[in-house]
Amino acid sequence: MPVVRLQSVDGEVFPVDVEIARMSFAIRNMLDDLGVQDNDAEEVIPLPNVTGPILRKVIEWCTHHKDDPPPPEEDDTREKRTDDIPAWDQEFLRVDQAVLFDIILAANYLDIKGLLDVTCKTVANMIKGKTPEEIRKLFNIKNDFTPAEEEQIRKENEWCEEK
Amino acid sequence: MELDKSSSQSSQNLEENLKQERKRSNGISSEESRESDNSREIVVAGTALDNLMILKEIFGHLGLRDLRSCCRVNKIWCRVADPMVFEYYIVHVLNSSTTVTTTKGYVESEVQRRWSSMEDEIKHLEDLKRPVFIQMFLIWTSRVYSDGRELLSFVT
Repeated sequence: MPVVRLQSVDGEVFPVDVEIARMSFAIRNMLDDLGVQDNDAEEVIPLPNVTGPILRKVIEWCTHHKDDPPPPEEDDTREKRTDDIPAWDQEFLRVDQAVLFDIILAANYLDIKGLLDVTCKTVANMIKGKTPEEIRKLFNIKNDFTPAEEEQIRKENEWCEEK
Repeated sequence: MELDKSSSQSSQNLEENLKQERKRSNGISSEESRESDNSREIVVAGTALDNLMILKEIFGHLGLRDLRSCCRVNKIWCRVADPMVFEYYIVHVLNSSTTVTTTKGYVESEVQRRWSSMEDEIKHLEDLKRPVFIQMFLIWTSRVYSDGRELLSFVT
């Protein structure tokens, strides 16, 4: 099986099947632009925004999902579900909050739609049903609104009371 | 696929590396990084929750009530969630016959929904560098602010 070598920012090199590496549209475009053929096994692709431990997780996810069918076309008018995360992914994403966010950043940078989707769903599930204060506490986010700004936002959103 | 076995690390080392990585903050200023105590997460400015595209992706899975909560978390979240409240209201709550189409990759990166004044909208269109295809232009409703400004909602 042809492989490419992915190099993390900390210098760790991961030999990866080309087929799996191409699940990342960023890598796919890079390989296509460079004209890298499947038998160019010595080619090293540097990934300056991804650390070794996170790249290892990303590769693990891609390997597990390599035979998945392509995701369906987006439908902006349909409300997205978040209760359909496969059990394997739920277990895979049972990680420290900071690790989860680093995986999201890596999925975004590498343009791996399936991974970005499932990680964002996981965070959305963490947010659901919580008050602004509970969300800030959960993610340790600083409230940078003045009381006047907070009041203004509250008023501005009164127009769209849920039916 | 095979991972480079020689570089495998213990989970302890992994955690340590990740702590270091959090401090690195992905190339964006980490001045606001803070660590309240050992039991709390370290949140660094420039992580996923400060990334507008990622926030939009996350918020895309939320309903109206949660989007409104997100508007009140902090200014960055508000900037992303506020137009999505309006979008959600049109697409899901009103369930109108409005067809939402996108213009990905051409002039505007996507459907734009915003609160603005007619004057500002005209100026926005005039200032665009390239020709515009407006696929839909809808004035939906208006807000009147305490200082007397009246802003209209636009979908273009």
